[in-house]
Amino acid sequence: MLTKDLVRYKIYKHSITPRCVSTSDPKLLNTATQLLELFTNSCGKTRGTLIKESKSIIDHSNCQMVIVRGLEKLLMDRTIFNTESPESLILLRQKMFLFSSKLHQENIEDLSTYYQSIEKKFQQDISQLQSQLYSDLPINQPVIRFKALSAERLLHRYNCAQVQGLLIHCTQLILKIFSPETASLRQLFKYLRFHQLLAEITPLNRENGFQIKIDGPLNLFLQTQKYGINLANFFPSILHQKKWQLTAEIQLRNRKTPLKLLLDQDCNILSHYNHFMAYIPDEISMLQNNFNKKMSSWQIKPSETLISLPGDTCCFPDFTLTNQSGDIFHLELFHTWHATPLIHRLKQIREIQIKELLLGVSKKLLKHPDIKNEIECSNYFKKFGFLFNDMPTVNNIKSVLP
Amino acid sequence: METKIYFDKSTLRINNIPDTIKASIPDIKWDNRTNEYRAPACCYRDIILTLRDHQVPYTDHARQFHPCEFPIKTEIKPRPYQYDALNAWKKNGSKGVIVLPTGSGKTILAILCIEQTKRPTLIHVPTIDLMHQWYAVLKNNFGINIGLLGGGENEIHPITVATYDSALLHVTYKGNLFGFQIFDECHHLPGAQFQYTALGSIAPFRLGLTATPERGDGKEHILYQLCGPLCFQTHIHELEGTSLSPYDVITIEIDMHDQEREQYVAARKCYIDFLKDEHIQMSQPNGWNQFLYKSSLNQKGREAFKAYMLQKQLSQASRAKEEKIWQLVRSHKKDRIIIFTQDNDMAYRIGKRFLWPVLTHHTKIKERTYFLDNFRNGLFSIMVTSKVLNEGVDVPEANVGIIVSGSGSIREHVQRLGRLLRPVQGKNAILYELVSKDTSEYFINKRRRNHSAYQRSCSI
Repeated sequence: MLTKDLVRYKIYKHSITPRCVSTSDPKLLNTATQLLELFTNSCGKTRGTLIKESKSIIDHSNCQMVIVRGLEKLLMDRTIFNTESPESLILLRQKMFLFSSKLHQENIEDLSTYYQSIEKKFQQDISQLQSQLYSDLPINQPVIRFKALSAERLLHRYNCAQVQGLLIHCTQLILKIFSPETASLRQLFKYLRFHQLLAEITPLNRENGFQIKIDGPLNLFLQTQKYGINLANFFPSILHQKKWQLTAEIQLRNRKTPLKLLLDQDCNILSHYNHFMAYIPDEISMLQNNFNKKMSSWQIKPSETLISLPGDTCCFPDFTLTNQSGDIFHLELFHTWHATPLIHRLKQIREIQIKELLLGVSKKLLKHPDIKNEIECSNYFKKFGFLFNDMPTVNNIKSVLP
Repeated sequence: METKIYFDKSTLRINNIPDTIKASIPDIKWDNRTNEYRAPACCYRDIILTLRDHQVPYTDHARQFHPCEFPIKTEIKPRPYQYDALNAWKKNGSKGVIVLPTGSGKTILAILCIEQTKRPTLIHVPTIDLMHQWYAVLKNNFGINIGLLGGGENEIHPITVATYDSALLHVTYKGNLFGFQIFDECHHLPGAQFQYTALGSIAPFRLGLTATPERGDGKEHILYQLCGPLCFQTHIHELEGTSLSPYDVITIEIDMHDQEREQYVAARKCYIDFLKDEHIQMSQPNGWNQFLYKSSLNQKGREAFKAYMLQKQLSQASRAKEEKIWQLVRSHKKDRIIIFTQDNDMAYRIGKRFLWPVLTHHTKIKERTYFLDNFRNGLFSIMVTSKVLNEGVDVPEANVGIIVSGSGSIREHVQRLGRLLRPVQGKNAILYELVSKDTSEYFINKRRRNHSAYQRSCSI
């Protein structure tokens, strides 16, 4: 994350825009590459040396200094230093201070006599002792690891940090997701819960999608920027959505009224967060085609529905099935990598009455004793659930339809 | 249907709450996000008492603590004002803020409160040093395991001491484990973030302790909302001579060496000229930010920033001051001396030059404990520190303080002073303040003198 002085933005009337950089700017890429080369080869160097060498790159760069300092800050955040103090040094300090305290009580008025006594006792030059005494301070700590990335990725990371630097000063985010993909939405909500945020979700009026108002539990009672850091940390997960729009009110300390931040997928920032669980196998799209061929009385399409569940969770089904007489069923699929969500879902189903939700579960998940037990005992699953081998088949689904 | 209460991320989720209860507690609100009623966790006491008053049956899934006994294993003889404070607090429903000067035995008072309250207790402190100090006193008096949260420690026991920072991280999940919250140096509590440690906890019993409830930003009222009202207060003057040592403040004005004076004047001119050229007014709220921004734009700005740092450093920490420190230390051979500096750089500069122990936030716990123990038992007679020791760390044997440089904040100085006011018989504490003559620091010092703790100071 960037410190306040490194966040760049422009203000026009009541709106605020982060000053993102072009990720293909040759000058910036050149400086980024130089910095990366320094940091990638920094193992063993002290923090002081690293700061000095990067300062030299910053001073000689033909890019804006505040941008380059921002890049440096992001690289420092990825650098791990050895913060341990050597035992020998701790021992030297113990001996030294016991001795200097003893000298304090003696009749030494003159600093040079004091130094001589110490030199005699430790058999070392006073200037050597002085420079050794606190040689484990942060400025002298060596680098042990640097998490490398490419120059272009660093610029994306920088742009992301510019937005995050503003979001820290907001109390609430309003996010619109257009034509959402189920797997990406699921991931978005997983990040939302991870960052301890809550959301109010409403379908969009004219388009397919949702409006999601995001803030923290205490926002119900007070306007607080307490969750600004949570919202900023949540932001990179939004970047995985295909089509989105974000609005937030940014309250800077030196301004009386809040400023409006508006951002959408055209910001073109690449997320540095994992895009796990968002994988949809090709076979799933094939399933849709096969189903429509074989089951003419039913229609299947990717689901646009959201089912609210107890507490702060919701369920995003994979498919919605409809027939001519107006019956609607939603289908949620649990693959081998969905063990935890499945356990949650089975528990929630026990607590409340969900209607019209079909559950398809990969047989491989039965190797988890909890899941196996829960499925065997669940009357709901007997009626509305089915097991599938690698991929669900049309017949699997047919077995649970009326 | 029965009312059910759950703890959820610093708040309470409430199911099936009767309208009468809802109406009497305005903080209970409907939450559209999760379709249920919700209240801040700190409303727990009000909600439960109201339910009981109305004889509404309820299941409490929120509270994860039970009443328990904490017998005191040592013999404590409370001073009269400690008794008065305890009784005033209990009379107030075991909620509220107590204001006592530094060194008047706030920890002992807290121990009495814990014994009487009989609930698992979380104590909040601002620094790691204070955390270890509380730990030692609690362990000694209760003779049980004490938990620690912060400084790399993460162990919860029925009595736990936490730094405000760590408590803030944990309150989201652990705000329902303690029935009693103590806030040491509680003037920190209204800070933008720290208030959530109190807001997000269900603890029905609360105690705030401080020597200086006043805040620069006037947010004292938040303190009283979160901890309960001010229920007891005494001043430095009322206690002095009884349990606190008498003290003197001596301000020494120091002339810079000629060469440093020239450097100071040149650097100050460069910095002031830049402010004038760029029309920056440092007295404005965003003056400092403007200066930071404009000084980063070009070479001239960078020079001005360097000049600013140099003049500040020279006025706070001139060579002449270092020489004066040596002289003062030599004139107190039998005393135990703490030297305070404004920043770590200066503390280490002095520590390196004279080979003395330095305590800053860079000092690791093991050495920190070793330094403080040795200072207390007299094996170390001098200690250099930056702001670390500002608040409440108990160094009872220190009787000479030297402030090498300091900011204009009143609290910082009262607390630095307070450290020397420990009740040791026959002790006469002296606080030296070294001020560079004819610099901006000189004027800050004059402003500070209006505070009551400085009324008896003299100048040489």
